Amino acid sequence: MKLISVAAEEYHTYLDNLLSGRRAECAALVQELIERGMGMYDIYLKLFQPSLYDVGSLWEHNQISVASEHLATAVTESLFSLVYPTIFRTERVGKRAVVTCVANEFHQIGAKMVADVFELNGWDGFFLGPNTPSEDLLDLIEKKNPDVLGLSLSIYFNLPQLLEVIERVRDRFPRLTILVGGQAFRWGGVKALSEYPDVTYIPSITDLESEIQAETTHA
Amino acid sequence: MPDTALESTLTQFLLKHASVLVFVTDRHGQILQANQYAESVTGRDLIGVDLSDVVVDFAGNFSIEIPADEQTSSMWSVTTASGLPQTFSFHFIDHGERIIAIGEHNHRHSERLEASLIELNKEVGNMNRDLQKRTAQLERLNEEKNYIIGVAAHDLRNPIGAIHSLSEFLYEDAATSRDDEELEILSTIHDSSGFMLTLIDELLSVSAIESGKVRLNLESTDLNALIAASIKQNQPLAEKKSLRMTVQSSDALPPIPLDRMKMQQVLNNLISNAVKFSQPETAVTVSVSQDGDNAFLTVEDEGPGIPEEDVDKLFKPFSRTSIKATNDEKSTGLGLSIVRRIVEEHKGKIWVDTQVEKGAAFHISLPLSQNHHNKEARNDKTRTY
Repeated sequence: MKLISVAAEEYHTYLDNLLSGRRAECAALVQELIERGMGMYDIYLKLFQPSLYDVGSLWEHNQISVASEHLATAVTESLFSLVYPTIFRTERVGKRAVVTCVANEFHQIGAKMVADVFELNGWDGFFLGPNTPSEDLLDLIEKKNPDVLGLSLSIYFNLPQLLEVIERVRDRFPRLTILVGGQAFRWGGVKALSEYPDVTYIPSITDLESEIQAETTHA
Repeated sequence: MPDTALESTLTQFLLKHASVLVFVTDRHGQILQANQYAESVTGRDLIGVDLSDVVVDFAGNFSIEIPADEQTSSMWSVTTASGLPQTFSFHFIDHGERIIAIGEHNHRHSERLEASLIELNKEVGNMNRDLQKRTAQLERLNEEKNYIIGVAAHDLRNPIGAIHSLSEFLYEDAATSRDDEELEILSTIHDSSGFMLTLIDELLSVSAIESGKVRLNLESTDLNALIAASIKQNQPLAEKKSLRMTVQSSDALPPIPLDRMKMQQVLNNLISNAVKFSQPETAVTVSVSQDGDNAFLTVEDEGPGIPEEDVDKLFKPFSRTSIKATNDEKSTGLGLSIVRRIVEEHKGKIWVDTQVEKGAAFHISLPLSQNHHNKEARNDKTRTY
């Protein structure tokens, strides 16, 4: 299998364009990578994810404004549409996942990537978006009857809300597999998850893929 | 005691570096002084300029009205160097012969705008994801449907073909015994199975076209010759109805890249429809012309016309209009949808002009050259990207 990668110079040019909000230039690189044969998974892991981590780090160190961070995120989200034709046309395996950010969580891009990884593996990945009220989430789980629920947490201070959602979901759907992840867990909180049965912390997209493949073969 | 030196230093510093607009004007609005930020935002040297030239004023009656309370601000939009206006909240200091106007960005507005744009972008992104997902689902369903139709039609063709052929043999056999009832039954079996075969063939065509399995075999073709062949094929029925079949061809029309078999199918369908729906002793006219890079073909009849409410669904599969063929021939409802698809595969267009009781004219335009059309399509694609 041909290994397609992003050259360091290409990456830095992309990051510059991203920080300046030059969407067309960013899109041109993504399109070129697709034409070179790079799959959605690699585009997410080798371009979108590291560039957003770099943007986040620059903001945390006051190198860029929060407005620039928002702009970079918005541009990246708009580029997802370039890879959607590949994602949604993979053969279905008859499994469903619901992926969401809990209430007060507005960083949705990580959760969206998770939903897309499910789709790439042939699952129906329903993405609910940011700041999802618990009641709406419970209703959708009732309606869609997913095999897996994915919950995303970007801000550590929202951990109590996440735990509350897990309790409510467990109460109503005791056997539903719950996967949890997000940048918030860099600061801790994984231990709190172990209090709940069948709730698994997923540290990375690569780990998510392994988990999805295991769930796919699970009857 | 106020530290005037400090105040002076602070004032100078703020005038030089602070991101607020500072205008000092006379009482008529002429700018006497402006800070660096004001000149940077407006992109011009402001000394001597009238404030009404800087502030956007649609009513044309700008004047400085100083609020009674210095806490109260006025919103003015200022023309900036980029050409786009920006809105600032201005406070005023009335200083006798001078007015000092200090304009600042309204941060609450900016924050609200930023938050709204972020939310809007997320919503649009999520809607786009949802839309692409649903499109992919629909495409999968469509493929499954085409596959099922293809398989069903293919599997039915043989047995129905056998019924059709055998009923023909039986009919020929029975003709010698002159049993009228038997002949009528066999004729019904033959006609019905013939109709079913036509339906199956058209279903297979639709299924193949929609699955993208149809590849045009383009050859340089004399359209006039194809028309002549179709006219000949429909001559027997036309003669039975004493129809006047007229062809207005164009000798100047060059050969066109066409899939001959499929274009013959198109012409047969349109001409046979015109013949079927025409009353006896009326005219059917086929005309060909060229205009620029396209050839134009029209098949026109003097039949009952098509009601307005039926025109939109005419080219859709299984659509039927309220009008009937003169001999009550049955229609599969697929013919015109196949015609449309074939014309569109040739990068052409088809449309109809019609009036009830006055007839119908089916028009087709076809590009004279597929290369020319492909170049245009590529350019369009580039512009869109």
